[in-house]
Amino acid sequence: MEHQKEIDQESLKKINEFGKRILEEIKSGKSPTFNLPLRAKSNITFNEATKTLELGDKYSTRSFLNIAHTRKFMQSLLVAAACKEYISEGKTVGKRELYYNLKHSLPNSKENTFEDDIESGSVLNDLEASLNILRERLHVEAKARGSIYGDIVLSQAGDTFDCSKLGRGGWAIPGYVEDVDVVNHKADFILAIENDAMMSRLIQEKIYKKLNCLLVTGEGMFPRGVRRFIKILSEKLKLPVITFVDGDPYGFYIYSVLKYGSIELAHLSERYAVPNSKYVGMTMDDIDEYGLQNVTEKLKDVDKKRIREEMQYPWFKDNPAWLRQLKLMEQKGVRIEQQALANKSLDFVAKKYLPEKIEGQKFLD
Amino acid sequence: MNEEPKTAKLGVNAETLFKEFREVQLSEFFRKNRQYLGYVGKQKSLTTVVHELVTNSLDACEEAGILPDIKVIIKELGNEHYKVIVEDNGPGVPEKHIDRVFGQLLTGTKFHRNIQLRGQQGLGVSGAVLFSQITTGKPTRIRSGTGNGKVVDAQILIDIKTNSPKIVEKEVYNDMWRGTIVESEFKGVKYSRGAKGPFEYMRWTAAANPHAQIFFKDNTSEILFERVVNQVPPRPKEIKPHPEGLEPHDLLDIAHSSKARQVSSMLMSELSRVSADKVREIQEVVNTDIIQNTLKELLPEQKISEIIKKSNLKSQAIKEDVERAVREVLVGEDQQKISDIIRVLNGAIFDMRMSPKRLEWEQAEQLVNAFKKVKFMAPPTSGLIPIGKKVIEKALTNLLAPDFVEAISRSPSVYRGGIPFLVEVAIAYGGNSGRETSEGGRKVELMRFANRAPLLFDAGGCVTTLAMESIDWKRYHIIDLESAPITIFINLISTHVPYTSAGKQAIAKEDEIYDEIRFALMQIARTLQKFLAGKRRVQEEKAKKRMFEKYVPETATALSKLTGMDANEIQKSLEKIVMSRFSELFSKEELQENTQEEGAAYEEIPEPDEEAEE
Repeated sequence: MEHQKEIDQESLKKINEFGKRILEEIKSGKSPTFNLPLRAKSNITFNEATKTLELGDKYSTRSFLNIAHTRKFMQSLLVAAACKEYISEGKTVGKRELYYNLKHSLPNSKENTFEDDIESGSVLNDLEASLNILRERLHVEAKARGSIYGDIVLSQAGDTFDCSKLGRGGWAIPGYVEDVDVVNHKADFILAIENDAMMSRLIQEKIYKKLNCLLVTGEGMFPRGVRRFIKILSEKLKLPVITFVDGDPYGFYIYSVLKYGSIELAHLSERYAVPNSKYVGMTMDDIDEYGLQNVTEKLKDVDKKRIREEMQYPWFKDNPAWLRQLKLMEQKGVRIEQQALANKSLDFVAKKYLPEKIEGQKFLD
Repeated sequence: MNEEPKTAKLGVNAETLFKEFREVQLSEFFRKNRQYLGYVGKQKSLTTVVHELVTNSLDACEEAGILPDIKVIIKELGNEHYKVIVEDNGPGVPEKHIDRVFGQLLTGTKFHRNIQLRGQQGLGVSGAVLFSQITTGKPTRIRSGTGNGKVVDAQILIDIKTNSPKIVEKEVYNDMWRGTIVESEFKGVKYSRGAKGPFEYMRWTAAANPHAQIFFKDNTSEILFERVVNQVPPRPKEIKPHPEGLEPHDLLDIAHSSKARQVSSMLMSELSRVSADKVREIQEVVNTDIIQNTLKELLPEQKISEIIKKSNLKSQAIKEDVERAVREVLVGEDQQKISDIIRVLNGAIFDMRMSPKRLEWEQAEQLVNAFKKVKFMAPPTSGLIPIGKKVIEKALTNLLAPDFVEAISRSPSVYRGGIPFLVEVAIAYGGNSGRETSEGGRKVELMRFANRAPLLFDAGGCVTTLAMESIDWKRYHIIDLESAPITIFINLISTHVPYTSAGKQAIAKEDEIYDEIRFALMQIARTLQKFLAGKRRVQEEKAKKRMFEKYVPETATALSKLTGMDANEIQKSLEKIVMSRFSELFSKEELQENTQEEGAAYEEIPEPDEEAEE
């Protein structure tokens, strides 16, 4: 992993260049501007070769003298100046901290620099895209959520810890993971789990020993820290990633974001997407295979709508196995949660379901 | 325009002005039927009094070439009891005429003249004297001086039975003062500052008569409407009636009161655009019809045509000529029949040499029909004296301090084929334009005038109202005319104003007048629309500029932190960039310095979406 100092130097350089270019425009009497890649469906393509979402080369220009941009322009500079300060002082702030740190009223006005952390968050995303720097490298942390458990020894900020010796929980993955180092490990793959209760079950059942894997959960949708962490581990340690989520449109989406990237962060796909992840479950076939008919749940209207949308995803629409899953779900009109497996018995998932599917290589890709 | 200076020499000798009055016995009739004089309703009656006195004063001043200086004072004496004082600086009334002018109901020459004059409501000043007398029993006090050193102060009543003046008191003293003061009391009337009261009447009068200085005072306040132009309008000239505008009864009236000896000379002297040639043409047209109608039972069509063809119907000796033609055409036919035909024709043929006094309805009708077949030159319009575009604009600017004003004085035109008229239309927007509502907002105000005299009542059926309402104001970005800060000014100038009724408060919807008003309204509305769009743009630009400026300091501070450059310097540069973006705005602003924020009576033009693809 890169040394923090080098990372910081590079980030500072980009921020300084950003400021300098704007200043030069002002000096030459022009309305100051900056460009940012257009993050809209129209500018996003699916790269068949790398199997990730990619941002096109369309960009929009923020101009100070465009009434629709002026406020955001000011906000962008405020955030950039703050990030420069955080980096220089070696401090890292949370998203909400950033908001409170920068919020104040404009001179002679009741208007505030930022009205909520959604505003500052969106400006941060823009800046990240415009500078092509991860927000973590701007010293703004994503909200920490998710954890890792398994035979791996990590170090961060001078501390070294064994992730198999952290009691019943795991190590809580922080928002900023760029400076995490792997001291040693003993694992064949990473199991990315949607539900933290399922994670807890699998820890109790000691599945990591049985299957020789690392357990990672994002507690729902995988946050950026978790995605980046999985990406780093899978790349550095050359470990495959196996995804275990609910058998519903949302689970499919979590898998798809982990594997291909998201529209909002398409500019960062290369840093986040894990193209070699595979899908182990839940599938629609599991329902009949494992006799789970009684523990399905009915699809809601939003779910049905979501199915239609996912059928159009570039990576699903030409993939017969996935199309079959989506069509099956639509036909059955039901979804199946990971924890429904507990209907058989609490250890069913660890004793039978996962070993059978993983050892049998019964994956969707 | 009249180039005479402010203190004009008297254009007309006061003595000669009053010689022309013709007496009519009316006092008894009008005592019982005061509504015919406009004295209907408590509020309208008081306005009528002011109208009669002020009209009289303005007319007198203008006829004498004097810039009018009018004072109107209304004092409340008790419940529904008021004193009205109207003072002018006019030529004054000579002592020997005072009793008759104020104490006798007269019809002046105005009733029989084809001239553009402020219409009298009823019988003018003496009508007001009568109205005062029958509501209070008191005489009216008149003070008048002609500037020759004598001033008359008289108390006058009207002897209703005999319609003759009764001087109650009279004093003559020496003073060089010139002018007239009428002081009269009225009961059973009501004063209000509202839309139809004397105050509004005077305000409107000021709008259409900017050459007059008008002072108005009531119990609570006083106001001076200052003179805006220092020129007395030229005196309108009498325009003789045009044949195409006449009805048979008009022609009969004219013929019977004419001094001409023959119909031919009567037509030439009493009507406009009738030459000797035209008289012969009229004679030909009239008699062609007559011969055809007379002979159609007696002779075959072809013979009649031959007779008409062979006759010289334009001849002075028309009867002899027709007789000759009959004999030629019917040569060889039964002599008795020929004599009969000639006898019948002689009785029927219209000889222009007949006396106009003996003209009968049927003949008048034949003439009027012939007028419609003969082509006359359009009537002269030189007698019409418009207020003028510039003067109206000046007057309204002075009165309303509007953000926008434009007036149009249309070229003269003709209605009913022969009555000359022209319309003057103006629109004022913003400032004090429009009428104040009880909620403090503004609503549209329509100022209607006939020959500069305000029309305060019966707006509903008036051609001006109809024309205004017929316009699709939304097309001109005035979304809700009703609640717009707009004053619409419409003045009809004509030798004969076609009122809808004896009330003389609404102008009839003559198509030509209606079209002219509409056309003028639309033309101004187009300019107003541009003004509103421009004004709106300026406001939008200003708001944008404020927006940009609001974000300058924070942007500068942040950029200073990013680059290490001095924040003040960055701020100055940024401010300069903002300013240069709005350089166009500042040049505009100088032109429209009075631009103020207004209500949204005009259409919202949506902000163009500048955000490209987000």
